[in-house]
Amino acid sequence: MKSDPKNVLLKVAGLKKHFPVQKKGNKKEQQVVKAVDGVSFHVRAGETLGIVGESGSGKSTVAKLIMQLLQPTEGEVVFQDKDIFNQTKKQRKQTQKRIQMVFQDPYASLNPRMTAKQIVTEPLRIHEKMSKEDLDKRALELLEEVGLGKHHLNRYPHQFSGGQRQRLSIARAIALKPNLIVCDEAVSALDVSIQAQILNLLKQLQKNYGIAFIFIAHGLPAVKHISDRIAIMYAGQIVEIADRDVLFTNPKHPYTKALLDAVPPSNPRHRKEKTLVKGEPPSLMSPTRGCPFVSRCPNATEGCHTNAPELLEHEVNHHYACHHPVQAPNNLENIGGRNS
Amino acid sequence: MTNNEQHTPLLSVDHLVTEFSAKGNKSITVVDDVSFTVNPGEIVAIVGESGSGKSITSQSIMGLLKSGGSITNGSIHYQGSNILTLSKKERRQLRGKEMSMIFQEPMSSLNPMLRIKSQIAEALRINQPSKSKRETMDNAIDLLKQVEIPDAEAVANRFPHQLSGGMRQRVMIAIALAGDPKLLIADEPTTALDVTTQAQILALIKDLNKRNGTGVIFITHDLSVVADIADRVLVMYAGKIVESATVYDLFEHPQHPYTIGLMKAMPTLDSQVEELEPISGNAPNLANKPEGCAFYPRCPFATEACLTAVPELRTLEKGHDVRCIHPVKEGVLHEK
Amino acid sequence: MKHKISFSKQLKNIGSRILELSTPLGMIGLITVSIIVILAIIAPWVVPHDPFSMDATKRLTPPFWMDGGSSTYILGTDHVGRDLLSRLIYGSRVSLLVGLLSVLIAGIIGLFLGLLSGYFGGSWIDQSIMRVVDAMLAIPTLLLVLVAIVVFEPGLVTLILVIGLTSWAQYTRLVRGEVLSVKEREFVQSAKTLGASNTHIISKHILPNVLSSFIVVATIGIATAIMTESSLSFLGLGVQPPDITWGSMLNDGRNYIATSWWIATFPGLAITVTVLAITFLGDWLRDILDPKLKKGGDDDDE
Repeated sequence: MKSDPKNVLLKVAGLKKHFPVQKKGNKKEQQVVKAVDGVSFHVRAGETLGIVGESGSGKSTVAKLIMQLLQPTEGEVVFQDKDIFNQTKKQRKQTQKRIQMVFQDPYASLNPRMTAKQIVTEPLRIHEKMSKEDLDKRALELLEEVGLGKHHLNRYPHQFSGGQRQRLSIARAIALKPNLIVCDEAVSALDVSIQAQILNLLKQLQKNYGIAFIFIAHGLPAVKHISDRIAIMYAGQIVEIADRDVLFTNPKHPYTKALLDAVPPSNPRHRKEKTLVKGEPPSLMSPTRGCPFVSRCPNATEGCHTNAPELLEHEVNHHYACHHPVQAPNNLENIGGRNS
Repeated sequence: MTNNEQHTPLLSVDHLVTEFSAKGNKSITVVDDVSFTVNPGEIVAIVGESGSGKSITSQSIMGLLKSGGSITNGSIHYQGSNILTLSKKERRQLRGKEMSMIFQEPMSSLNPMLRIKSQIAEALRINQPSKSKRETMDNAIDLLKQVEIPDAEAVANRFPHQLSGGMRQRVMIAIALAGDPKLLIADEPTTALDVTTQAQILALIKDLNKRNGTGVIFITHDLSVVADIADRVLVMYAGKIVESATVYDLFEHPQHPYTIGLMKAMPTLDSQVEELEPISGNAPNLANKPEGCAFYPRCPFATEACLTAVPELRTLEKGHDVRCIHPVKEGVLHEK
Repeated sequence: MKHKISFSKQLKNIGSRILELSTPLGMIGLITVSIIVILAIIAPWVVPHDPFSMDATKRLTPPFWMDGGSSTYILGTDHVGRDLLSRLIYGSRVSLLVGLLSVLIAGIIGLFLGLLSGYFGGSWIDQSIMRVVDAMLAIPTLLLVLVAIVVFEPGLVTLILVIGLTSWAQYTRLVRGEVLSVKEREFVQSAKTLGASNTHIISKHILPNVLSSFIVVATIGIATAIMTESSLSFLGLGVQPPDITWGSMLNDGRNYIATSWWIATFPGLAITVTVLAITFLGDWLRDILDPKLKKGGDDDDE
């Protein structure tokens, strides 16, 4: 997979989002939570970029920034060569047409007082002037596209199961034929058997329409299944980004390796004595000078406390931010769930 | 294989039926003819999706059913005596001392207004009211250390909201262990946690099980967690146990089409497949279950017979039961 | 077009819910309120006597089941010989009119300001609206009404305007709170990512989802307004004679409570029953307007 500069759909550069917080009893001292602290990556047309991170890693804030639900503190998001935070109202509306989002909780992300038809045609009603007949026709097409049918048109969200609701969300997201869909934990709330249905549906849509996905999740197996490239986030930063197979066979950042190790085995024969990473992510409020992972890292040295590593392309298409990357990549015993 | 079958098991659930009352004098059978045993030192996992009845099974055992729910048939024996015949008070005395439970969301199970140490001390005092305050506090700190909380003295003085999700779950486990129970019921204890924290909590539960010989019922929807922690597995679907086997047997030779379907639908790190094989359709509405086998509308192997015949749970070989007319072993499975 | 379809659908939905979710208290409320409303509308045709005609010879007739009672005056007569039942029925007209119209005024103001304040939560618009609300809520409504009545001419229109213009603050506060929470729900975020305009989001997503709690509170607000009206009329500051209201009837009976208890008791009962019935109705509305209403009893694992 070569990076073709012409093919880049979305480019995120130096993106930061700091939320001010007021400390109790001390009004003067303004502290900030650095939810996203200098994130750069790109998404090519038609590919899926997985973003993996634990709670508080900032992955959902990245999604909200791309969706323009938040204004960044610093940095830019360039979509189809235009900075999305620096455009006229009209351009902005055009961008919003081209980027859509699927949310995590299918129970919260649909208006309980709208019918399925109203839900899937809402984007069309906002952006296109369509006749009632065309809207009806398109509504049915969209529902069929995601495996629902005519009899679902006039139902309300509470009459659908979780999986069906997520199908509705997806139908709504593809209504305007976008170039990019951001999926924020889109399958995390679903039962295993339903999760697979939705993952397959997303793959199918990508194949048919060449939609690019940013697939944000905390569950590695699902991300591995759907992504072409994967970025690992920790404490507001990307610590490693690589092609999927490279990342899983040759993780370089100690945190990536810790994550892989933590995934439970898919078969009891693969149980093993794991060296678990200790502790928990750092507070995002305390100013960090060194590497964010330093307190939990088995490879940390003095230098890591003072000197933050940069995310650099150490190998082709393999970026990581670490002074002491994981060695001996071929020792398969140590890599989560990959025992023969 | 499970150990010492000649001994009385720690817990034995027989033909348990739990129903919830619904509109119009109807009732919905949420747990349907569930039987299993838990031996001391054993981890039994109950795996199933939403609506499978796995959580209600555990609430039935603990005597914590929500209003509208009642046990209408079957028995639950704890160390040989039927606990369903006990009075409410006697039932309460079992909780904490003999069996205790941890939940999915530790935040809602902890009192936000009380310091951690007071909450643990409270659990300790219920079981050992005679101890002095000093001793109880020392014990509380010991418990926190036992669940591997670093800097236990400091954590003991904090309030729940000052702790991370993983820490709270550790505190919950410490509280559950306060009465030194012989049976621990864990209802999706790691579902709300991050991957690395989940691994820590699973390791902790395994460790406690080994060290203290606590019997564990581990309820989850995640087969990979089962693979990591269980000795024996019950797979539940629509209120019934559809397969029960040792963890190795289950993963190597799954017999029920639903079990097989779950395994094929689950993305794993070591699979190389491009397409997952989802189970088609949705789980049945418990109020309106299909006749015959509850799984047949979704089953790729269903035959005419499955439409009408209600399959019984039968033993294929020692320790491996399956509720299916056409289990894999009998070689009649041909995917349609 | 589409609107009509969805509206009739919704009506049908609500219709079937009413049957499905009938509770004893809700039904009592609904039926009682319906009877009172119907009686108020058809009052001129159903009253047994002219409620205004006095007859000194029949004064202080007790209800029919008592000694000296007469079946012509079922609930007896007052101190100037007017039929109590007829006056009660006529009195419901003023009470309901004041209740409905004042809540309509207060509700429209409250809803509008609440939507504005909540949607632009934290902005200067929100800040200034909320300071006014705080000020309004800090002064007891009755006191405010008293001052207003003293300044303006007492009467039906004044009463409605005064009650309406002094009670909107509670609706603003309620609606604002609801909007603040609905605004954060994912389906509103989702509409924002689509590029929907503020008007679209407010009218299609926020308003429909705050309306049900608003209706519930407004219903109970009608009961409160009826109480306020009665209190003021009792004090002689509300509707002026010869217009009949339950409050002024209560006042009429005040001096005779020891000898002729029925003059004050029946209007008092009428107020109590109406207010209770409206409150039951309001509670019950909360249930049937909830789109995600659980059917109850069948929840297993979440």
